[in-house]
Amino acid sequence: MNIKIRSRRERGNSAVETGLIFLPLCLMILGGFEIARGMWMYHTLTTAIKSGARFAMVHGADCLAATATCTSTVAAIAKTIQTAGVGLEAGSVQLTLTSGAGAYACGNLNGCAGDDTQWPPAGNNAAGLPISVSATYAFHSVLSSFWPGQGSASINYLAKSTEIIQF
Amino acid sequence: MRNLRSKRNQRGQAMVLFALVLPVLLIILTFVLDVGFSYFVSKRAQTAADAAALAAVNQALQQVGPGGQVTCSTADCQSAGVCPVSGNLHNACQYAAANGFSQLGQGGQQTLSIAAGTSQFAPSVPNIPVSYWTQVVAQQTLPQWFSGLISPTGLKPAARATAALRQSQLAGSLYLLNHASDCFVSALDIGLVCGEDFLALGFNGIQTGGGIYMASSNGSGLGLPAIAAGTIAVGGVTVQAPFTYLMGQGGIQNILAGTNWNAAPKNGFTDASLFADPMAGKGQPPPPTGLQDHPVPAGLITGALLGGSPTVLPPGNYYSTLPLLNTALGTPITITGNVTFSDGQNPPCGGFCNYVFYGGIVTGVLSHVTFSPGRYVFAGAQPIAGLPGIGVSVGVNSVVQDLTPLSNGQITANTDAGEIFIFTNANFPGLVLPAAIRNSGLSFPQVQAGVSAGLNPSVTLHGLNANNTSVPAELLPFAPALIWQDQANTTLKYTSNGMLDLSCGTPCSNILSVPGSQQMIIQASQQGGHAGVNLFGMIYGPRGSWLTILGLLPGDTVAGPMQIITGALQMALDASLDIQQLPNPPTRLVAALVQ
Repeated sequence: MNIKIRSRRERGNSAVETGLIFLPLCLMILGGFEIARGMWMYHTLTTAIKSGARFAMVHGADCLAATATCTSTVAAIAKTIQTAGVGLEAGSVQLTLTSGAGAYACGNLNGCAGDDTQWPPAGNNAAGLPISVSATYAFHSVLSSFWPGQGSASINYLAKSTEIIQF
Repeated sequence: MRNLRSKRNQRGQAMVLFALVLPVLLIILTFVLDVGFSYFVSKRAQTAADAAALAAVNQALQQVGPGGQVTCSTADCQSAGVCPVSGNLHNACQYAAANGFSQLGQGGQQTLSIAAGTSQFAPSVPNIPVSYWTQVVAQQTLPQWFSGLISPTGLKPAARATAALRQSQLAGSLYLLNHASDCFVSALDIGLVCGEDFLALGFNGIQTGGGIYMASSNGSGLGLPAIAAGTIAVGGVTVQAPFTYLMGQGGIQNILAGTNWNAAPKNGFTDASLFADPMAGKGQPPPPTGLQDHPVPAGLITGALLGGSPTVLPPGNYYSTLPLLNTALGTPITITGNVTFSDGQNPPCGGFCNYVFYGGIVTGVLSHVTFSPGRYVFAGAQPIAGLPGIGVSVGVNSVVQDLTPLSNGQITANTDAGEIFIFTNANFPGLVLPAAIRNSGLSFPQVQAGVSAGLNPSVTLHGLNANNTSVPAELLPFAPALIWQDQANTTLKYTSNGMLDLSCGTPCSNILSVPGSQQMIIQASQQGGHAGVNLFGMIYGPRGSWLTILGLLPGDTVAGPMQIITGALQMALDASLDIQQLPNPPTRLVAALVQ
């Protein structure tokens, strides 16, 4: 009887406990996962941008003078970034290329990958000149879906790599 | 009872679920930890490989100089392998280690492979001809934390970098070499100035087909002795150049002057090798030997009347002497009338003549002097009132020319061997002094280089033409030099192989026996609406020297396809400089990552 009474009294306990802990636990697990994923994406972005800048710095005026196949275009830089940036959503990466001629915003990676404009532009691609490749990346976290009205919110990451044209 | 049974039935569920989820979690962990770490290591490997490859070629460049030749005896060469114990590849390994990569580093996980050679193309870098290359591959075998579950070999992130020394044509028209630390007495009478590359006094103009490089990183508004890389003082200057590059924070300042400088000067360059003396490491053009002596009594050469056949002056050593006694006077040789330096044959001297002058030469009023293709050494001159003796002084309304005349007032390319004028002193390496000079007890310190002149000179000269087979092999590396100022005639010390002497930590100073001799002067003029001084070739002065273009009247111009390399350029009064691009500019070695 005692067992029966206790059992009846404890009925629903686990449901209540589960109900209390489930949401915070889910948020904690999801939060940890999303923070890790966010850091991952950020590091991927910086690595990819560094690769793009490195590509441009060895495709300057001297390289072009040595062989006509050495042209550096916005598309070539964007594709280098895409290759190095596995997992980045191309549509969320907004690329800006800065040389002595000023900043050139080619849009998102998808658009940039189809832009055959020479970059760094002639006259600003001499060895020794600084160039910068920078990008913003809109990181969409699943967590934002849990916040009322913030379902499409994102965090903007900024990555920038400045190099000296080598060649 | 039913509840109890039910609870008992549910025992172990969590374990089953956990067992089912565990592999998935492990795969995620594998991905995150191993692949993430692999990304990190791969990035670090690239940084290490880049630094190492660049360090190797940069050291090789420092060893031979931009104008030198790199071989496997001046820089390390090897097939892909481990680091040598010394040399530029050892230096490369040190850079790699500083960036976290070394052979058998990280408990034996890392490998660093380095290769170097002088083949025309670096491995896997086709179409880019190089003189010397270094390729570094940095790799690390990662510990198999979790990746062993999906891959038996583990991850081995690696990066490769290839750097090279390549011959690069000099793209600029003006190379102004003085750095912020290089000081000399200013023409503005303000004492010592440091870091001056360009000074304009009066109303001057510069037009160049190629760019302008200025090595000073001094910006405007600095306190003396520091002075801006470029100073426009009193008057104004118009500069038209495709580009003007300044090192670091280098800038242009106006003092009571207006400036129209187009394209706008651009600073921020950090690579000092772009602004280094491109001739460093070449050594100096050797003087001729075995020449006959031609003492000039009283230092006077009276040429033929104008309009007639010129007096022929054969190759040899020329110096002024006391009449009858043949004792060297050390005074300049004065040439009047119509003379030609030649052996009288066609082509002169088989295509290339050799002359050495002691004391400098002065051409008289209305004289007409023709220089055949050849090498002309001006080996010192006596100072006058404490001022340096002049190498070539052209008289009022005089003509100095070579065998390639102007066409419609414009200079054209020469097909003959061309000339090189070497301005130096009697101690120039390799120079064999005539007995009269040797025994005179006179000193022949550095002459002032260039072409000084009185009013209205007409000068047309062409530099060495590398395409002509008459140019002696030992002079070919210096083509298309027209004027060469001795590297000993500057405020900085050069070594015998043409490198700046850095044994003092910074470039060592050189004390000149006649202060101011390091100034080269080229006087501008005009003839019939065209430039009166037309030069074709390279004008070279070492770092620490300077070149003054002097114009007396509006329109006075120095023009032609030229490349001017000097410490600083000064434009005075009413001078214009119209530089077209040389068809065959010289080359120099540059170091760069190429892949």
